[in-house]
Amino acid sequence: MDFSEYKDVFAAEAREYIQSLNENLLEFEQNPQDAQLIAEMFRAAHSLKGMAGTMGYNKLADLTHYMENLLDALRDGLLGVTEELINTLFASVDILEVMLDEVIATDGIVTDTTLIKEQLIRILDEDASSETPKLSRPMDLQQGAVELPLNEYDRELIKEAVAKDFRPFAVTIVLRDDVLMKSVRAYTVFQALERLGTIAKSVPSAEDLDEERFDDRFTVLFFTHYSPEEIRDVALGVPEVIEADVNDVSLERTGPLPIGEHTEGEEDKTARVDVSSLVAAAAGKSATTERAAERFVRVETERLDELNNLVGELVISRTQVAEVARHLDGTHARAAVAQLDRVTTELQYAAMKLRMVPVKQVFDRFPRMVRDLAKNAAKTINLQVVGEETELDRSLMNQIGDPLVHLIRNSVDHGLETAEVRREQGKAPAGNIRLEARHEGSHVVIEIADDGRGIDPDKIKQKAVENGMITEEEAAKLSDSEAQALIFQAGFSTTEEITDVSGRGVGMDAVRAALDSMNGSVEIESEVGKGTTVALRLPLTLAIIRALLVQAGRETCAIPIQSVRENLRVEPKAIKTIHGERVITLRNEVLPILDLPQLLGFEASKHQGDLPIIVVEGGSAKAGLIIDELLGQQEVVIKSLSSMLGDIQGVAGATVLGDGTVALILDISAVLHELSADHR
Amino acid sequence: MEETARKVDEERQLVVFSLYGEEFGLEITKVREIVKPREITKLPNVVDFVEGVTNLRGEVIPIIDLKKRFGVQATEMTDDSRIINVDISNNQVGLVVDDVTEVLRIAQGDIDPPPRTIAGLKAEYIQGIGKIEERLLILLDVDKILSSEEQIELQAEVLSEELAGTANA
Repeated sequence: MDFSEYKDVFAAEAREYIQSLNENLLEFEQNPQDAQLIAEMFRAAHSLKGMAGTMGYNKLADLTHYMENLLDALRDGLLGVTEELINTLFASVDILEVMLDEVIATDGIVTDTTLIKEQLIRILDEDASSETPKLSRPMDLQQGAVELPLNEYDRELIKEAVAKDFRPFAVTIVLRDDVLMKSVRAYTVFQALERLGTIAKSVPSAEDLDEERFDDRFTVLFFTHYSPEEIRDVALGVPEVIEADVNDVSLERTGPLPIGEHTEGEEDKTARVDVSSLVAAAAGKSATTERAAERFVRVETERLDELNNLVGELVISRTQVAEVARHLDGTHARAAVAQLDRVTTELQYAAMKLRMVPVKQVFDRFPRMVRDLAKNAAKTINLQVVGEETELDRSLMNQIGDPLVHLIRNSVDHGLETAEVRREQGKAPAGNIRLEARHEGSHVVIEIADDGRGIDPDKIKQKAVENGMITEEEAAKLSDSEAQALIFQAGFSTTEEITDVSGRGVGMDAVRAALDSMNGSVEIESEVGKGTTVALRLPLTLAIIRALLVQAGRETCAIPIQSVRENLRVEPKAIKTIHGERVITLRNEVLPILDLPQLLGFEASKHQGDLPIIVVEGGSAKAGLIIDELLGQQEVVIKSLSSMLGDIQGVAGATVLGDGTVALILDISAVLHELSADHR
Repeated sequence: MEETARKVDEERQLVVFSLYGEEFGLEITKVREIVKPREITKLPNVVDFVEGVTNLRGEVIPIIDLKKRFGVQATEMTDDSRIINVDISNNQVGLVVDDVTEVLRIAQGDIDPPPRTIAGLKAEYIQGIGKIEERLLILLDVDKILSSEEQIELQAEVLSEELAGTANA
């Protein structure tokens, strides 16, 4: 069986259902009377079960089935809401997530679900003992059984067909699993069937069949006057078709029942398609999701990347065309180029917007996380989330999660006090964390603010001196905010007591490094006793950056403009040597000087007269880079280097210039890395 | 072994190229295109056989000097030199070779299993030896030459030494 093409879709959808279970559970914990929430959770569990069963992830389907039983009993009022019940449901959702991760990583599930299932059954048995528990065994989920979900439109069609004396059937066709050109087979089956009647719908859709996006089977909704045997004979007459199940479709029947194995000679006792429960689920969703479905299209990210690549190339071609046009006479050419320029810029902007996703995708997991962390730390915490609709480039979204998790953990663990301490200080017993995203110019700012104890600059100084990061004298000179910024330095940690969550692993230096790698920055503001605010500043998008182009040896390098502080021309004699290292003094600051071509392993630059120097800053280091020549400033489209090359120290990516050659985009923090290690 | 299980009368299509005087064959299905040498941008901090990167139809692809990969003395590129753009697990990689001579068909029966080492190459990078009349073709297994970044990055030094040793012997 090769479901790999569907796996991504399954993973994405399953993730959404799990997320919605999580959200609804959180709300349900607050409003246990809300029947709507139970219904929604039930639907999510049910849909998940169906999808997992279809994909053959039976363990996942199995667990959701037990959850469904519990939710069903809840819905029918057979169960009381207890903390144990809620925690068990939370635990089940967590295990679902673990299994989903396993499925994504290895396609197999090794997680043991015995305990959690026992727990689910126990709760159901204990509490619902007054009535007969509706504990049904999980149905035998067949590998790859295809369900035929029907929407309102399909139901209308069926009614019309029945009125005209047609019999509606769900016909499931199974092809040999080693068949080549499946789409052609599917087409042949369609042709054969259409000689007997009308195909109203197919699952997967005809388009998916056409593009071979299906495994070895598909199901069609088929209206005909012919008998199931005749339909089967015709279908089996198509080469490579090994099974043809013909089932009556009924609109009345209730209760879940998958399209069953259908043994020959049993046509009259046709298993009925689970229509009503599917319809119920579909109808319940239709109010919200179906309307949304008209406005949104699910597109593979790969396709978006491809589009963005092409637009990137177009941007480059435009530059080339503009260069050619400069040498042409005539206003026509110039006008045409100006028009091309305008359209390209708009296209570039539109394509970039396609990459933007709301930060909600990342923020969604935090309410649950804060709840759990607060429970562990025996604190009461309110989390306020603001601006989750703010959009950010998808690639940044993938990288921002870990730093945010870390910062929120810090707030819960170190920032916020326990209820007793807060009362003593005249604060409300419940701590507050505000997570906010907003636009600021061409940046997105994400803020994590708490009203906890704040960061004591004196303690930071003391710790920094102890760690040998600074001397007593230096410490005395630091302002409070400078002292607080010290926590971003490598190897700094103020926790004396290492707790389960954030006393270990990555520190604030890792947060800073992550932001650096995204061309972003991080700032901290804190007042003792009042709280701490950490602001992450991110560029809107990563794909295109402004860069300074410089000549280093024979190569052109692009330095992201964020890393550039200024450019200078320096007399050779202004360069002094301290401990064998070259430095200049710039406005009372001693600045190390490095030769960029040499750093990159090319021949050292040779200059007669003044040296062109670019002052750059990255990580926690600042330096002057001697270059061969300053070429100018322009927007460049970032292309990643081939994964075959792995990470190359000092190179963030590459870009294609107007003349078709490749320029390396430098990662200044990495270029200066050794320098910062030496000087700190 | 998959190779020996192939039918004897099956044909394979190969792109034939030369490298330090030897003739090599590459499965044609692995080859995307063959281009003339072009501007190559050097990369810092990479092993020596990674020549750099170049722009091929808007994609930035790494260029590998096969001679350096095999630990043989590299030579300047000439007019005959070519870059063979191959697909290695969905990544494009350009291989610098001395000359691309022809594309030919060879019957599976004319391909012998590889000896332990040949022309200084470890046999694991070789699918077999093709015999066409008097000529001997070394059939390279590109996936194995550059199968993972670790292989490029970590084993490079060791291999180059080994290969240099056997080549001289």
